[in-house]
Amino acid sequence: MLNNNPYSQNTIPPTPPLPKQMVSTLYPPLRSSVLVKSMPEYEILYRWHNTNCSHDTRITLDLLSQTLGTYEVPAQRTLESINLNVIKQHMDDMITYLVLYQRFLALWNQLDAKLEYTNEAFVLDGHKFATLDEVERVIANRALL
Amino acid sequence: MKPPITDVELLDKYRQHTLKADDMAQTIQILSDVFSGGGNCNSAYLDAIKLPVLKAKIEELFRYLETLTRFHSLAERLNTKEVTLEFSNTQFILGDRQFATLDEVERVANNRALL
Repeated sequence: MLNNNPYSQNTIPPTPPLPKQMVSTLYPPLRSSVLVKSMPEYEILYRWHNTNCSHDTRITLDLLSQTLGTYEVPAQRTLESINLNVIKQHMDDMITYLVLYQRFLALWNQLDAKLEYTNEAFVLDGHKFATLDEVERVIANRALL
Repeated sequence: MKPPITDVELLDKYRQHTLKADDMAQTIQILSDVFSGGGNCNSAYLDAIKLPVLKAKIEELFRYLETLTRFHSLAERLNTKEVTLEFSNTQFILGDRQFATLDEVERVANNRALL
């Protein structure tokens, strides 16, 4: 069984040179993180949409795609050439943002597109809210009336 | 409840199912589609994806890449002492001994002054 695996006997597989396409995108100018876990929800959405995060995310995804897609098993040199921690942080940010944005969109649809966010709060009919939970409570109260 | 997959099982899983064939490539494609628009993500795509599933897949991917990086690094260092590190589907193999984790491999290698 071991004889068929890429790490058996001669152990480390030879690392082919990186494709030109990959070399040109190594070490992209990725921010380590623009999102902070303690950041208010509206600020996460505001920052993401105003700091070119989607562009950085596409670069991150391209890089991951190239890392995974070039060889059956990512070559050692490829792995050494990318900053996994930075990419992982960016992917964590991306998921944090997507979960929040998905929830915001559901409420936005429910409120006939009247819900907005700024860098200071969520805004609904001129009233400001700190969290989407508060917005949901307003919707629940309206339903009771 | 299924026990969590071990590091060596994870390495073997990705080796058996090559990354190109694995649905990880598809996962990344889905994310690329979500961010294919301008500044904001594409909400039409966003509606269609299950974020908890996606999140779990991404976490596993990074665990795999980190484990593979660590394995490469240990194997390379051991190789300078002419010791071979490899793995089967359940164990890491260092010379004539088998280990369940890279921590154990590293500890034994350190004890033998191989690292």
